[in-house]
Amino acid sequence: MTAAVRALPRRAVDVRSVAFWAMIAMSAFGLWTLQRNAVPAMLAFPPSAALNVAVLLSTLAVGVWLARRVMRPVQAPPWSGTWLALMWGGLAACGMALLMNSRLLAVWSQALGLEASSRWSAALTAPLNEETAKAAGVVLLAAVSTRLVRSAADGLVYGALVGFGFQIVENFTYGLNGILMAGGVEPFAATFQTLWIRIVLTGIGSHWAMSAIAGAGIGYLVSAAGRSAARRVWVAVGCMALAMALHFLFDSPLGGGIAGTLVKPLVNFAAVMAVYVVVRRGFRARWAAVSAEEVAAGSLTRDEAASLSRRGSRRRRLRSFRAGTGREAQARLQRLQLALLEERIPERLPAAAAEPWREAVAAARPAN
Amino acid sequence: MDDFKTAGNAVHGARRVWVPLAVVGVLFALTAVEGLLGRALPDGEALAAGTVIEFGSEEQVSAQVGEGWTLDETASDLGSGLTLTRGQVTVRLSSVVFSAGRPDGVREMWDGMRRALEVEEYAGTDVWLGEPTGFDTRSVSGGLYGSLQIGTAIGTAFVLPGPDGDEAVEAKVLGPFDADQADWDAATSIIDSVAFEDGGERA
Repeated sequence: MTAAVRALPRRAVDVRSVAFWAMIAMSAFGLWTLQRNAVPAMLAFPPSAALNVAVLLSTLAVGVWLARRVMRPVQAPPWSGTWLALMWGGLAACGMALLMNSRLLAVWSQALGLEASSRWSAALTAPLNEETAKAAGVVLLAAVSTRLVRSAADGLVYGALVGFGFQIVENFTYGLNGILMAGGVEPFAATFQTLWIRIVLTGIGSHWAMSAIAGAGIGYLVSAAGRSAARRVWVAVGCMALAMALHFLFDSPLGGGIAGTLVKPLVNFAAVMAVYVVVRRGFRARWAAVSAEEVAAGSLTRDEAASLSRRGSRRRRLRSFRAGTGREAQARLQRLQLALLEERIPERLPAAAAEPWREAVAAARPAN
Repeated sequence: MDDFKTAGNAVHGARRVWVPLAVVGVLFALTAVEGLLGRALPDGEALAAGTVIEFGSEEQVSAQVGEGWTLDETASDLGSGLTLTRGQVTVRLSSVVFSAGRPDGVREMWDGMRRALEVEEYAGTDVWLGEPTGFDTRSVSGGLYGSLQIGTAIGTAFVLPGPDGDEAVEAKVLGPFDADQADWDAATSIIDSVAFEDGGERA
């Protein structure tokens, strides 16, 4: 490894940061809150618990693969950030939401009366508590390291991961609660039925979608995208309000029945796809601009720049080199070029700030 | 306004210390405010004698209260069940819909309730449920009841099957050993009043 490469920041997550330890501490607190409810039910109904664990692990694998493969343009977020986001969503946000929801649901019961609170309390509680708890995770990720959340695209993928962590742990708790709602009769079938509804019917537009929208706003707020502070704040507030409004609709008795159960997740999915298209377009436009600048600066050739922006074209380019040390050298060069272009994504950063990455790219380029 | 310096992210420098502290503070402040709001409001609503409350997923079950009962609104939800208190006696009525599989008779419903009570045992509370005995009410036939103890509270558990066997009301009447006999009798009257929509009135 050359001195130029060794000089680059190597970790996306700063384990010495206050935010990192805040995320660890809050997740430990959330785990303690969640286990108090879940462990007794798991011990009382072991086959349902086993089904729940199997489904949790399967959905975790599929969801994480999808989020990392699809939700961020060009390349997946670092694994360290991925696990932190999932941990916050599944433990800290879910545990805090359990605590907060029990309190606010009681407030609505007392303030609105039984009739109205039975219909509206979920819609008045979850958007406030759950969206706030999940969005807090994206803000903390932005504070864990200045490299983790630097664009709306970063915010969107971390928001989706936080929401996904929340969703699978909430599914787990609902899978156990479903047994009690069914009076302890046919517990395995009750868990299966609950998970089926929450994953197959409503999973497409549940927590991951709503917090991806809020996360995109937070990513835009904290990114050096060359926009005014007022504009960034309004976009973030708008995204948060949209996420809360979608959650309100999702939990409200409006449009009830089977049709409502099927349509509401599709509305959320359509909303997150609209946000995704806008965010992706902005990210790709910036990527194309900095690619062109780095081609002009001599850090990339035109062919390299053309192949860098998509996973498939990067793989094809590598395969064009003979397997062995030549391909390995090209792979190393490709990783450094990706890091250079990622470093250039924040528009307000001066181009000169990326000079260490340019030097590393130049040092890694195989001699002809 | 250049608030990014060379970080590429607005949460840099001193912000990386106070932003996470502020985020955690907001979450705990929200939790505290919601708890304080709950404490500032009354816990229950006094019910007039003769009040009929309909509950259950389709509000297909009804129960009538006598004099002196309070509805614990924080522990009640029309969709799932009611918690009523009078003196030291508490009545919990839970509507159960067997959507995942119809039980093979009321005895299986009772066994399901016994298994559900094991959750409390695993949570560290002493639970004892006696053997059931059959009983009928004004509107429901073929029910079961048995002695119940949860922690230091004693009382009776009931299972009242619905007319088609795909739903039931599970009731738990609990109080301290020295609770007033009039409160126990009033609780029994509530159980006797439970009726399912389309369940009909027995002669």
